[in-house]
Amino acid sequence: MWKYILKRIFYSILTIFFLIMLTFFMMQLLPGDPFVGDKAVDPVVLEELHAKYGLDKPVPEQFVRYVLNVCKGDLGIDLKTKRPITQTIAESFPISFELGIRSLIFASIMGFFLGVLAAVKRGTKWDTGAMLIALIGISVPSFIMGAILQYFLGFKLFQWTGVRVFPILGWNTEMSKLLPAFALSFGSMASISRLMRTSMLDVMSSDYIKTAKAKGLSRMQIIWRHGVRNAVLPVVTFLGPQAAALLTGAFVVENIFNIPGLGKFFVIGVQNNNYTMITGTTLFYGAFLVVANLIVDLLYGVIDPRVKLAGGKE
Amino acid sequence: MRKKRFLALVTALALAAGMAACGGNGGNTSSAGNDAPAAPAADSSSAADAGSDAPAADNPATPAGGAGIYPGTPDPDTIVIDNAQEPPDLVPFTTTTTGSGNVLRETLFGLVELDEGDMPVPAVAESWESAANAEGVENMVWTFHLRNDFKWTVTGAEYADLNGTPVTAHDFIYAWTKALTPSVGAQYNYMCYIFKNGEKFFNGECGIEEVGFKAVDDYTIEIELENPLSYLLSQLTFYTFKPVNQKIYETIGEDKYNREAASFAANGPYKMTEWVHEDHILLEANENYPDVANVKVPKVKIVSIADSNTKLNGFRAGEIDMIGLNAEQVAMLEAEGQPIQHYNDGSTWYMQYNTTRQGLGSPKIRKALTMAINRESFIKDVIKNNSTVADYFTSSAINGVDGPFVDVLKAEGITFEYDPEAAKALFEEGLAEAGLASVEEFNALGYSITTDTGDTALRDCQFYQEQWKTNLGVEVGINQMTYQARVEATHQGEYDISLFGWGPDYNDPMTFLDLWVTGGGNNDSRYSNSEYDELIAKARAEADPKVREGYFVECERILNRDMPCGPIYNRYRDYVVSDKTSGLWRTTFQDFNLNHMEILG
Amino acid sequence: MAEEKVYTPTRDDFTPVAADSSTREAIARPSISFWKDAMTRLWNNRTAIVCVIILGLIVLGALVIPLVSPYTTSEQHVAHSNASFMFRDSADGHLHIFGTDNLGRDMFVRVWDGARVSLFIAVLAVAINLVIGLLYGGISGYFGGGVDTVMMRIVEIVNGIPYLIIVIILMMVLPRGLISIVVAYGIVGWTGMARLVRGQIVSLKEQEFIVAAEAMGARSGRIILRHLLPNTLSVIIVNITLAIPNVIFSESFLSFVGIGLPPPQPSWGVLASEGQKVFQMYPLQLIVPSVFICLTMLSFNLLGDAMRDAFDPKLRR
Repeated sequence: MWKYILKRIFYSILTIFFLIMLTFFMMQLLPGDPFVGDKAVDPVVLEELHAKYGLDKPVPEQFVRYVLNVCKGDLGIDLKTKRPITQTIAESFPISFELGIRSLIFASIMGFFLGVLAAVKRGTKWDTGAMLIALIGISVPSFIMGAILQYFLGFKLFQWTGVRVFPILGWNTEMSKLLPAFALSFGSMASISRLMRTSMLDVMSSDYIKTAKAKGLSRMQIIWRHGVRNAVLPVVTFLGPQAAALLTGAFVVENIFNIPGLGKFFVIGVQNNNYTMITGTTLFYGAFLVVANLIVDLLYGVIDPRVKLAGGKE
Repeated sequence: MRKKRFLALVTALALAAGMAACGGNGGNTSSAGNDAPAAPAADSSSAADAGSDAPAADNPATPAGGAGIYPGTPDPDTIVIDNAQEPPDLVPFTTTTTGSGNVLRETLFGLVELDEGDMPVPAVAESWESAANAEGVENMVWTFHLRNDFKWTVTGAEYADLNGTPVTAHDFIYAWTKALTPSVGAQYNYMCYIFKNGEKFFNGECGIEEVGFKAVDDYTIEIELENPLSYLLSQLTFYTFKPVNQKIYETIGEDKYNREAASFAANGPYKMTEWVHEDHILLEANENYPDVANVKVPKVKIVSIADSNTKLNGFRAGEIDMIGLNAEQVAMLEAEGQPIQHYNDGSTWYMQYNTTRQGLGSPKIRKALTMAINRESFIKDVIKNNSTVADYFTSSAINGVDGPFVDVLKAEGITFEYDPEAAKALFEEGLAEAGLASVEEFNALGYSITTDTGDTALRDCQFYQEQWKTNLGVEVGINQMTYQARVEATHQGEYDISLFGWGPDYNDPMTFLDLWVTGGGNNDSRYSNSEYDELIAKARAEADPKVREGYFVECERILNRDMPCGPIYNRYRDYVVSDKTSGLWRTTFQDFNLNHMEILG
Repeated sequence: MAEEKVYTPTRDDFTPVAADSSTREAIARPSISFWKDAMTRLWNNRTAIVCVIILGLIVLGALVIPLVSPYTTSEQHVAHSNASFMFRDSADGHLHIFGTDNLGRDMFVRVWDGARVSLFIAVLAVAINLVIGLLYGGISGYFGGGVDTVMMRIVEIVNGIPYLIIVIILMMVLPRGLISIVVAYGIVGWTGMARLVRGQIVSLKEQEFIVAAEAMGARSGRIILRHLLPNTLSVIIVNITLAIPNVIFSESFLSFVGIGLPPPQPSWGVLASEGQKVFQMYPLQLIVPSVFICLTMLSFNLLGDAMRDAFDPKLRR
């Protein structure tokens, strides 16, 4: 077990190195100079700026320097605001993370229950209702969901009642965090509930469930002890990439609710050809996802005793 | 001078618009569009031309407020303003964006500042006089007398001992020297080329002691100009000329100075007490500001919102007191009975043709393309506000010797009309000139309009695209890029046609017309006409304002014939303020000025 | 009391049924292949039929309506922009069934033309994802060990980069347009499918029937194709139905960032994101594309469910 974990950590570091390499060299292909503006900039000034931020060096040298700096925990300076990237990440990532976690928890719990409910009550109006919610979640993207929630629950509710229930701007009070987290979670919740339903139906028709029934276990025992535990497996695999989707997808929601999360910085960076910001955030997201996937894989083994962590077919 | 990014308009809607902001300069996001710094032609030679002392043409001052249906934010001490764009850089000598200028206007005073009518008025300088230089040319040497009661305020506790440092002549000299030092990488270095030998110093051809500015004593600055400059005072209101104290700058350090609230050095009516990046900036009345008694609003919160729905919801739900609006929002709020405010932002929006492209090299084709756009319909049916049809490159907000410069051009009969028939005939002639057999052959060149991700960019380009298709049979594509990529592509000449906005830096036709000089840094059309170059050179050297204006008229006549750019409209922008807010200025040269606001009720 | 006649059967009453061993093994009912069986059950599912009809109508409309409409996709009637539902212009008699957008373009023809693009992108992109993901995940999961580790490391790298960057860079390198978007998605979108397939196979291959197949000497290819993949089919189908809306909306996100389809070509995603900007003023412009999207998604999903039921041997009851 420990050997396996160590091995995985080694591979994770390798992954991150490849990630640095890939994003770094991709950045070299991006058209546009981060320092040009609407007005022509004096070539001397441009040269000085490039020299200042090391962009005048040959690409391999820049790369080596970058990797060494990353090892020291330095992701460089934001070319626009001239603040350290690590500082921006330290300030904004906790916000995105909280948003993501709130959404993920919400999506998992709701998705889980809706899925189980739909599977257990298959073919009834419970099933239809649960799947209708799921379908709406899949069909409505977060930028529309967010805008609609904000309009009706943020503005209209205030207009009708005169009470500010859900503030429109900001990320400070508990109430102000509800709408964004909900808007972000809706799609994931839908996906999870559908996956859970499918998986649950698969499991419920398997032989060991029949055995359990034959043994005379109660319905609840069958569902929870034998059904859900096995059915949750494919859903757990789904959570890894889903965490990624929530984190990177959060920027639409962050934008609509004006939340200063990392997603907002990342997209602004992309628009601005802010190389250091793009590589820095990409790298950070990448590292985060690698860790998240590691956790998911470990969880996988805990949940499904049949999976041997070491893998292979010995 | 600032080329505004293409369509960034009134309200940045999509995030895209918000993101686009970055760039080198300001005009980026919607409400930020106009970098407009300087000002009226007024200040030329001392008392001389009283005539041009009028406020910017076509641009009534706009203290807004009251009579609406939205009461505004609940906090009795705070007004919340949307800046649309987070200021990327608040160091005066390196910043380049309107969003930054909007915050510096409240926190950092220069020698002079603009009043409600965009006229320069005393700020840190209380008086000034001008004299002749050694060669006897009048108004080339200026002496500014500074007030001795301006002080620096830094809010961070660790910098408490810097608080109260007096603002002196040396602070200005330090900032200007920084702007002219190549290693600093100040993109607006050329602003300081107005000083004698400024450019030489930048190029390392002379020492700093030869540059035309010096501190005579702690409270006196002497400036010597490189060329006669009728609009010097207006120019000095631009943020590049604002002061920085050397001791404070060096104590805080280059990497922190003005990058966080705690390390922000203010000398104006407001100090910065909070800055949550990409969220909000909180300004509070600055107790060290000499005139603090007249600062009526204790706290101003500046938020940066990219999504237009969010802005509108925020305004209507009483969380923001001022937002910019797009056409659809104007229609809705007007129907509700909410008064809408407008101002002329001084920009001209125009089609820029790459004259090095086959076909587009023909003036007839360029003119035909411009004539085939129904500009009235565009304003009436698409942007739907007070924006006006532009017949000239110089904006309607710019003053000539007597009143608006465009009036002179109209009187001269320089104009052109939307006329699909004539345009088609002219286009055919142009095709022959360019060695193309037919419209199909022109279409086969596969040209496209380059645009960025600004809010209304796509909408506008699609309108022009369709106009050309129906009126001329010309088919062009639309090439949408990120902001930085587009700017680079146009500067490199790697485009066919591009839609641009150009905003004035000062109230003089020169700020528009010197764009098209051969080899000019912003002449992305690659237009070259020796006659035109000569006229601009003559205008630069000319002291008589009337004669000088005559040169500008001739320039516009040439532009009307050759059309390296096809003018489309002069932009007005729409915004609303809550009933709580009064005294908010939005003018051609001040995107907004919050120093004179009051809280009503 | 009448005497009851009791019949006593004799040995002669019984004759053996065909004692012929050849008939004994004969299959009484016609042989039904797996696919035929699945299709039969699909046809008996009324929801599935309705979904097929809806999708068929949308495809048909997308193909035909832009051709027969009196307006083109880009034609502008700026004098009546933002028109409402069933707007008829009294001056020129123009009828705009779904109103017009902010440039006065007919929403009806735009939404049908958008259907072409959106469906094309979605189906093609998902098909590419499916093929790559299936092969990749199948191989990785089945072989396990070093192969699995290396392959999953590659997936993690691809997965670890927010797809936006890859797509942006690809869009810069490739000529702008539909195919570029599909290719960009094909390159980045398969990882989810690959992981899912692998996860299923890792857990399936420990099960008895695989062990049995191995014991009987089946080759790897046969085990993957005939035993493992069919058993993961239901999960894959559900995943496909979930992937289609993702592609449609990701496409609209690209337009947001400024690297989507070159205008004036509409797609549902583009129409929805444009509609979202004005939904407070002109809700119709959001509702129209949203309804089309929802209807399509609903159909894909319900059809997916029906197919899943039909294909899954375990659900045969």
